[in-house]
Amino acid sequence: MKGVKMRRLRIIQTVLLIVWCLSIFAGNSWGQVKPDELAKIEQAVPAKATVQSAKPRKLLVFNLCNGFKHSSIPYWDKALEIMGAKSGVYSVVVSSDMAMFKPENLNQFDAVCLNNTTRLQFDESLRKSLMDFVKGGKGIVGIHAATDNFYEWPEAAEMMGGQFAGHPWGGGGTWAIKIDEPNHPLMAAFKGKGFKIQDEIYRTKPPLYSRTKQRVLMSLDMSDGPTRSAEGVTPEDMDTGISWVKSYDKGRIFYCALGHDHAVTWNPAVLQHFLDGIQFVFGDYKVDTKPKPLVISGKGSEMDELFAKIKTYDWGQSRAPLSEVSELIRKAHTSPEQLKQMEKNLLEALVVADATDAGKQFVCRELSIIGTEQSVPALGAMLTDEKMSDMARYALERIPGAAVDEALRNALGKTSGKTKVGIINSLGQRRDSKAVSALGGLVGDSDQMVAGAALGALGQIADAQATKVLADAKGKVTGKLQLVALDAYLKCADKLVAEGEKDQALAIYKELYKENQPKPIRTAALRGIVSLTKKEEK
Amino acid sequence: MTNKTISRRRFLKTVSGASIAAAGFPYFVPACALGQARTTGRAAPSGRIVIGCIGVGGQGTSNMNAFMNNPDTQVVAVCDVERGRAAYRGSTFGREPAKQLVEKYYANQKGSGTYKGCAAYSDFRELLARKDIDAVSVCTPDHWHGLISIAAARAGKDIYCEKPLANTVFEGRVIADTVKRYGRILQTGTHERSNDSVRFACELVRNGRIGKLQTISINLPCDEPHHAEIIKNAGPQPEMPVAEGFDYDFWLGPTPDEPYTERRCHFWWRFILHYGGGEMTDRGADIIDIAQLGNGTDSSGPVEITAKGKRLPKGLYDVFMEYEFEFKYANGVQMVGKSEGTRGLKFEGDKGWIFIHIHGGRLEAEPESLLKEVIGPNELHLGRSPGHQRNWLDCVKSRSEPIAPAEVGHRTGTICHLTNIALLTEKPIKWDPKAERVTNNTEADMMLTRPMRNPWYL
Repeated sequence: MKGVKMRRLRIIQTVLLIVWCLSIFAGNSWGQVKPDELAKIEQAVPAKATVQSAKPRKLLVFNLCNGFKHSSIPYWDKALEIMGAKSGVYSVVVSSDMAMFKPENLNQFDAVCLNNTTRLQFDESLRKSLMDFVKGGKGIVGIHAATDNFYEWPEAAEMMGGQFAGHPWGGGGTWAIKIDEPNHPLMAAFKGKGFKIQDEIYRTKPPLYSRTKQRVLMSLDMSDGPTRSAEGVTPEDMDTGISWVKSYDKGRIFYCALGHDHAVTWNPAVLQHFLDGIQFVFGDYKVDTKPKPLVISGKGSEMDELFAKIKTYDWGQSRAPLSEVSELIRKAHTSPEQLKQMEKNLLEALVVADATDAGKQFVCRELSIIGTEQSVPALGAMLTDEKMSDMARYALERIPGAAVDEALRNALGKTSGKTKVGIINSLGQRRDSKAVSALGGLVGDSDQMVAGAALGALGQIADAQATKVLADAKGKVTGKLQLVALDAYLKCADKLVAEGEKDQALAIYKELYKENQPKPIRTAALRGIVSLTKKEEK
Repeated sequence: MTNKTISRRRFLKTVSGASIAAAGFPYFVPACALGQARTTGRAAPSGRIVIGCIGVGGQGTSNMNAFMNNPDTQVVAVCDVERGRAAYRGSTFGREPAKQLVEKYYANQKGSGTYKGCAAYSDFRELLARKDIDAVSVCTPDHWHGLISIAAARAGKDIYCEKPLANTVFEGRVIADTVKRYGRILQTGTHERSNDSVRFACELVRNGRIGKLQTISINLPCDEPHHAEIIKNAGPQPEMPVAEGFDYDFWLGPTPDEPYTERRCHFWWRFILHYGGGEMTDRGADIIDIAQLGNGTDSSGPVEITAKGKRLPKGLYDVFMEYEFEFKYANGVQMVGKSEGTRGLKFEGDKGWIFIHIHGGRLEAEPESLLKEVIGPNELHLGRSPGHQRNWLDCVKSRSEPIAPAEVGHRTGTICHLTNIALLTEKPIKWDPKAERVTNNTEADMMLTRPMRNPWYL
């Protein structure tokens, strides 16, 4: 049924595509920018360059498409041409002939602009030519679909810093962009303020895209509802770069994902951004290209913003920001320093006064796996709080180390009722021998739940001291607690068998097989006796 | 064995019955104790296994009906934290509807004279405290399987527990240990294992009819209407007031306190990692169970597990809906699986293959003649089952090991949980089936157990 539906969908898609293409041809002959649009471009282009050129520059605007051909291409051809002329910075040669990449043709240019080129095929010699061009001190400006290339040439894909892998953010939609580097020279056009724009945005496909390899200047703002919940967005898309710069050997790369919608080509801020980027690639505008990895401390970093989202997360909201944090933590698992930093950030989110319960619970779930002694003070403090105690134990119970046991033991005397029961259970689960004395003191507690939990925990610990306590307690407790004590005592016997102490175990089983014991206990005791005597017969 | 005319009921209640099971000798109920069954169609009250049904939602009610449809059983109590209400499946599930079903059934039966009516509890501990109940079924969400089964064993009851046996690896271990300690009979609800064709197929494999077993391929797709429903409603769910008649706090039990929303609970819980393991445990438990049987590794498991997959990123449901996994066994066999294809598993050897369709158990083989082969008298025989619930009832009486006992259920469940852990950590897992620990990754090793909300503990 699925196959048929898909086929039908494909047919409909193809028909619509044909109709759409025809309409384009009918209304607007491809390749022609309408006069009024041309006027808009001329209006929008920057009046002058930000910096002086060392000399007149030449830009190859390349627009060959072996894959999808964007209708915005002629708009960019024009915009780039007009921009170069008006500012006086550069002249252009527009071409779709691969021969332009031959060394003798290429070396007249200061930079190559890949104007929405798709699926370019570079043979051996052209590959060498382009690489020599960039590595030797020149560079590439990429517009939008420039990342829809180099599928068979991994080195170039790596150089670009990203590759097309779908576009959940379609051309008809309006998407939010945040400025990661408001003070970076190439971001001056946007005056430090995030914005919304109607355009199509591509996925960037890590690890080709990575903040450890390129300096990301702006990216999709996932705190914006529609952007975060676009059809098909996954947790891996949480960091989707829009613009970036990169030093590549002696050369330079500038890429901007904007440029699918025609209107982008007469957006003044975007055009200024491009001109600044082009001047950077020419080598005239010296800017910082040092990558800024996501994992750093200090106010205002990516990481801090991410973890800040935990504090405001509440039930009924999309889980996406939490998934993103989990993803980061999972990736950091091979690096103890990174994990330590993650733990620190999680703890900050935990102790803040106005953090939501939902956020704190998420933190405790993560700390349950990656927590260390670093977390014990904060979590320990939560143990005595009736509302927070369970959450704290969720984290603490699986964190190894004596500090946790100590924190639990300390909280024992300061709590009562169900909260106390929880702490007793965790001590039992952790097999804390040092808690046996305190637990022994609780088996006679007036709160039946507490007494029962203490007996159960002693059965979990089941060391020599606990066994003695239980041997004594089982005769003193009454009612429902009897079975609890006896079950715990049985566990001690089973543990003795496992440790090879057959005589001691047999003594306990025989004691529990006496007539006056409850039936399930006698059953278990007999089983124990039989299993031990069978072994001896061998 | 002396042929004493001892009432089966009294025998079971004495210690020696259970201990003989522990020592491994089967005991068969003398026919005279069941004599009355031949004339009235029902066993004498003393010949009946008295049952309490804990968890009477969809699966629980179905199991309950299956138990009742036997001449030698008597359901006397049901338990559920859901009372039953019009808004929930038109009052067909829950403790009040179940109670009515039971009473109606027995009202129509001859020879039920002494039947006093069915009790309806909301707290399972009250049901377990009843001395007249011999055995219980546990058909609750997965996060309750451990606590209830263990309490039932400690109270001296035999247990039919739905699959997966437990919600974590550690829990499964404790269930198996407790059942053993108290000499109880536990059947894991992996009913496919009772299927004739499944057992035949595994016999063919274990007796080398497909040559040396090399690969077991598993198709575990998420392609049914309820999966589509989940994917369609993948967004976050709003908080709402707890439904009247539903004890939500008790339902949550040992899991973290999170606000009530209808789509968290009945039936849909299986897509939330707190309470279940997604398709990996839902049907994965059935399929992997058969794979273990065919591979002859019922009391062991793989030594390496790798998996990768995708989850729904935004809403309540955080289980894996798309996945690929691979297990390697010490005996060289490889098990591969994916969330695509016709639901079932294929045993591939160097001389042929057999595919088992799930559910139903229809077989396909290459060469086809395999399906007509006969297992010889000196070859390995796996026996046949009269039906999964019937087999459990028979074993409750005979004290012999059922088709899917606790250790088997635990080992199968372990593989499902390890796969989910591998999916979550995105790293290969090296597993020591003897020590039952992860040896190469502390993150994964931590996830073998899970802390519990107060006042619950294992």
